[in-house]
Amino acid sequence: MGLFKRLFGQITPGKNKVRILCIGLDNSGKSTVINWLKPKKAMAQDVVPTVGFSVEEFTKNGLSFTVFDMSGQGRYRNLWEHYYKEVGGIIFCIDSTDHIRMCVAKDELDALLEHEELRSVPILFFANKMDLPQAVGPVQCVQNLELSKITDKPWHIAASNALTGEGIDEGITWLGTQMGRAARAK
Amino acid sequence: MAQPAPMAQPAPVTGEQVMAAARANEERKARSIWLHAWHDPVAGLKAYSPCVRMADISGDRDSKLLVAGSDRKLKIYKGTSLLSENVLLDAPVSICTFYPDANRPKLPSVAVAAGSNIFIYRNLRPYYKFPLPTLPVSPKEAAAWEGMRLGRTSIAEAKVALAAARESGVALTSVSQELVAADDEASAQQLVDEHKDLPLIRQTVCTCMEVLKREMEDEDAVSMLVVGTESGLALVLDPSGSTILVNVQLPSPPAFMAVGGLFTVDYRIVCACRNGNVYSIKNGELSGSVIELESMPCGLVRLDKSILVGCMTNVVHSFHLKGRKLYSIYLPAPITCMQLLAITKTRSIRALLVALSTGELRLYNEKHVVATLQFNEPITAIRFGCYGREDSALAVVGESGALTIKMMQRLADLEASTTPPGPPPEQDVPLSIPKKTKLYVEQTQREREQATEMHRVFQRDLCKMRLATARAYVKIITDGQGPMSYSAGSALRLTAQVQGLGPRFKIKLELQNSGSKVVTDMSATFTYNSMLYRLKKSVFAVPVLIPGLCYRLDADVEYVDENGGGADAIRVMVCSPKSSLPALSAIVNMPVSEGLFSQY
Repeated sequence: MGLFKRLFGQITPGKNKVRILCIGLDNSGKSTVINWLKPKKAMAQDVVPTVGFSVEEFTKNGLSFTVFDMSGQGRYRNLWEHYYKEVGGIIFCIDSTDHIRMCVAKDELDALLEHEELRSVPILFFANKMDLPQAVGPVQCVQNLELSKITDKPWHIAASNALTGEGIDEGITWLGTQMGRAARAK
Repeated sequence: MAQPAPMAQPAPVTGEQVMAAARANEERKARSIWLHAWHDPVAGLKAYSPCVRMADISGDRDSKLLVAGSDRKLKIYKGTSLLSENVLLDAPVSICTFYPDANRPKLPSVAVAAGSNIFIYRNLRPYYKFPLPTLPVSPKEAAAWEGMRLGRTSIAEAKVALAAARESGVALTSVSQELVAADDEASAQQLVDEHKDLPLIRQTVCTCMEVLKREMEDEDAVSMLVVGTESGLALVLDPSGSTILVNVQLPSPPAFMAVGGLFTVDYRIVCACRNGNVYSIKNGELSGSVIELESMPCGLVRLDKSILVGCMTNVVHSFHLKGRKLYSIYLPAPITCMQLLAITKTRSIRALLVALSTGELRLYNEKHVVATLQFNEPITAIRFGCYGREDSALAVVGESGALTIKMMQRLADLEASTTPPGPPPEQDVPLSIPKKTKLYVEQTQREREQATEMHRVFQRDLCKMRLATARAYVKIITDGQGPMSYSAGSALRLTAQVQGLGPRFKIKLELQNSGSKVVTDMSATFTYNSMLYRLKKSVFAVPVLIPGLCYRLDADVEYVDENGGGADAIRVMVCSPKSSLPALSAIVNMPVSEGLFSQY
């Protein structure tokens, strides 16, 4: 029975719907990451700064994703916490070339980690813009944001280049596995 | 019938809860509102606040930091790296960025005020030089140079003439000043040869520079430069920076300027001048209201409708724009720089940043400190604004040339009201009052019912006690047991004093008649333990005691006990021949005597 359920569960549409929140500072490449995940036809040619937030739905790895792409601008950041409820996973984009604002990213991340609603929600970090010469590696990002101190949530960091899609699939696969595991545990 | 709703009882508050809440509040306050972004201890900057600005000079929404150092270098930082370094022609006084036109893409020009010129850079390339207007040359000076040019007067004569002109209060050109100061003839001759055929120019220098928006408040709206000069002029240039639109003469050279409003609508330029006064220019007219400071200004910030002036006496005064004084902030150390902290996009905050010579940076909301930051060296420049993509960044230049970038937390609490002045939190801790016992209740009941009775009993006992006291007092003063006597028909007073360490002492008696009648035939005598003491004379006759006079009697006492170390009381009695009771008596407690000298 369990085997059947698992097999059919994978292909039944609408069964494994997950909500994902995509956050990060402005200009870190959130919308570009989401754009890459969309099917080829739906991809936007150029990405503009998000105002407020936008919702994208697509299917990947047998999971039906509903992604809330939040705006990262300072004035919209207080919207983030209103969407923390019933979230299956979080994508946190880091602009690995923006050294000066690492402290701001860390501050926002710390506020997120302390939030009640997000207990044991998996977090996927994208160290984005890896193609640029001044980018720092994912290891450096882990040190700057003190990610090793996160103990109550599963997390993963992937170096990415959202323009070419490098590293994004790897990260999403990890997130899918984590969320699938959490769904079965329920 | 509906039951009356039970009264909502407030949850019992324990002392621990109150104190824990107070502590949590303290901790929240103590946590810094500043995030540390970057620190470069070897940036080697030598700049003051007017020479540090932040602006998006490349139009990519990534704001840069411009620092015009007194080493004549214009350094531009992007993120954590130095983007470019330009050489300046003169030591800069101030640096400003302004938008000369509304063309897209909107790129600001950079204006550097240095010496008597304003250098304008576009795309980081020198674009235009605006020379400050020249000042009139006095006829005396012109005549002296004319004489030299025509060879009518010698250089020495011209020097004397110029020196005399300077003495009489004429402002000389820099060339003439140099000539007057020239020591030897050769250098003077060289100076005259160089300059005698050139027109005489008296130049002024720039003291401060700010930016005024022309018709819109937008960040990238067309704006114009406002320049203060050493000759006491305040100039408003047109947006291209080539012509003077407004020219106002101030009574003194401005040291600091604060600009607000729009040029085409309504604008105000507040100038803190070197004579210690703050003048205000409204729409091109010098306003009549002058703020006179008690000491020299060392910083000026305009905060909405108020002006904040930092003084050399470690005070920041706040004035209304019209000149009325609002409040003062007293600081523990001299002010090194002051800066406005304004956040407009995410929320509306306007506060004052003050850097002290101790390296402390304080943030004041109104007159309350909302945050402090300690640096380990004195600060020479601070600038708050948009840096990189962060809107609330703070750039700090230290005395050693170190550059520090801090960023304000998005949700930083800058409200002054979070620190309520008033009683400490301990006051809200409830006292541990014991429970009311049955006995206590009965007692209170009795007190309430028989209050009159109890009061009467208390009053009667009080009267009895007073009577007993009075009787005892009368008994003492009549039986000669005390130092005061009224028995001999007159009031006598006796004081006795012991002097000496032993074995020889002296008892000094003072006998005074404080009555009005003369007392006669009194005698003073001593009773003592003859095993211990020996008196040369133990009876003193006092034939007459005149009222008001003080009679002194000295009795020599010798301690005679060979064992030593003992002491006893000696009783002094003043007797009258009419009575068997002594009139007065006093007990002299003798001190423990020093041992006898051994006699060999």
